[in-house]
Amino acid sequence: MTLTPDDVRRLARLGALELPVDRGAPLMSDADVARYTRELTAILDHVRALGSLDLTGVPPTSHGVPLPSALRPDAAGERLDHAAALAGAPRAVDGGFAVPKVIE
Amino acid sequence: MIGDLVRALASGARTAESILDDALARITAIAPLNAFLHVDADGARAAARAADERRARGASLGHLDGIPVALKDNIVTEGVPTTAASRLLEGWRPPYDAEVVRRLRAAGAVLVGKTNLDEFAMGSSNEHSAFGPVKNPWDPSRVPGGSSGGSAVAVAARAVPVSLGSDTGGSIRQPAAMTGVLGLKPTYGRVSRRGLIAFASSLDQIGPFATSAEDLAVVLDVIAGHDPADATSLDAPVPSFLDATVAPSVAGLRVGIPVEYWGEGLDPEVRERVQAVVHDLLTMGAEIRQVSLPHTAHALPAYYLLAPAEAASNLARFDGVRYGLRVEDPDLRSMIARTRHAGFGDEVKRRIMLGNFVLSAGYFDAYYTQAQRVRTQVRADFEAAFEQVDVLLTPSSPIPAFPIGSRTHDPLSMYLADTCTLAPNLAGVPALSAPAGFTSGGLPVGVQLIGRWMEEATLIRAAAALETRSDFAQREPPAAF
Repeated sequence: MTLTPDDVRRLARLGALELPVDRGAPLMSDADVARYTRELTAILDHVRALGSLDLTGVPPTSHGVPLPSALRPDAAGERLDHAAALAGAPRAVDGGFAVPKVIE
Repeated sequence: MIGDLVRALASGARTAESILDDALARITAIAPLNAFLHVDADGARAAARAADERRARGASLGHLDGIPVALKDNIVTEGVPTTAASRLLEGWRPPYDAEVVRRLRAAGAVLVGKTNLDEFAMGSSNEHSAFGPVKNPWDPSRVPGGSSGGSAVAVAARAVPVSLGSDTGGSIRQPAAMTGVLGLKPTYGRVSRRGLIAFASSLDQIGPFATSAEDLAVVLDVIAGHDPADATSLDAPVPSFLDATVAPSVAGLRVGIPVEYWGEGLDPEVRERVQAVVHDLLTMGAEIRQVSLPHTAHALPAYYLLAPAEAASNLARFDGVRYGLRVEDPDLRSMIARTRHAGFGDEVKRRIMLGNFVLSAGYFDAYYTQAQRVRTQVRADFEAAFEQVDVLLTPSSPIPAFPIGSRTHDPLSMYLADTCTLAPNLAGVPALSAPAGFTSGGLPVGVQLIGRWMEEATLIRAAAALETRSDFAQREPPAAF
């Protein structure tokens, strides 16, 4: 499984580690991308062997320990104080988290 | 050790405040090891004085009352900086305490500070911290192991008697082995994950480091148990782990040695030290037998598919909106990307990209679902083995502590250092690393004991029994470094 630098840039955008296309010069340098390409290819080469195992009939497990669906009564419990929740905000306005405008 | 401190406190020979003064002085003395990211001297002093005041009026809370404890910095502490060793959370003060922190405070523990780790717990050497690597007190040119390197060193270098770490693929057990202390990863769900900054939700567990089985038990007694605020917390009775350390016997204990853990890649001196532990158990009446965990070789690739996938999802919350770093941009998506690009280190970025790759359309079934099928097989291996034996014994790490910088150029070589510890996380079984002696070069070696689901007490009992044979955990690293 060989990843290309374009694959890596696409993965980086998918993970919000790189600017969207057409939003300016890429944050990751070509040298960074080349290095990640090499590293991720080596890792995928090692793990892709799993892909060729015949595991038909083996059910997937998402947790080592079987967990029942954990429900609780629909009643108010412990709350995080509003001011405390906002205290760490990079930018808070009118009691909310302020972000750049989304709709243009 | 805690017992000594408790006796000194009870007799009046020491106060919690004087014990804290010693801990703070020692933390300063070991600063070159870079084990601590934040020391909360004021908070600790208030807690120590409260402990002394309680003791003065006969209202002591128990074994941890007045005892200094350090916490890995991916465990949130209200009002005390918590960074996960990342620039992305530099300066952030959590608005709440993790459940384990609430329980430690309620037990009177004196929380001295937050320890260094690989960023967001992703690493096996503590070289991936945004705030510098942690150094091994036995040889500061070498790594202490990771990701809980700081918490391991805080105990190994005798700054605190106990600390908490977290373990997703070995991050308590491997640094315990490399620094000559004990470390325990409980059964998945045994200790609440509420307030543990999530790396891989189906694999993460918080656990203790200590220099004795008894001290591990004291901490586990406080932090274990159901927490309704953690949907993955086990609603199961918790035995007294301290009881397991009293007159510990391994007579009749069936110990399985899985053949798959003894292949090439195992350092010959590690092999020798761990075999000596097997011999000790035999002379104490344990039954030793060879077993097989046939899917062991698949555990590493399965882990490095599942853990990054879960991490990619968990780390999506770090977007510059509600907490931590923000790098401004008039466009929201660009703001998020600039923030994450600036805030995350290389290893975190690699795992996010790997995780998103594994989860993406076209690859999901071949990689992610396939890894989950392997997880079923790894779990089944343990179920089958535990029908024949009570405990499994392996090395905790195939190699002793390696030089700083020797594996960072090749991420895959770093991942391959995890081969002994990954499978128990996939299966959810408890596992402990205990000191097994030293290499001829003076580097610690650890032996891993793996138990059935919810049988931490068996592991603690075996570790306590081994302490009657050797005092490896009591040896201290060189005073100067």
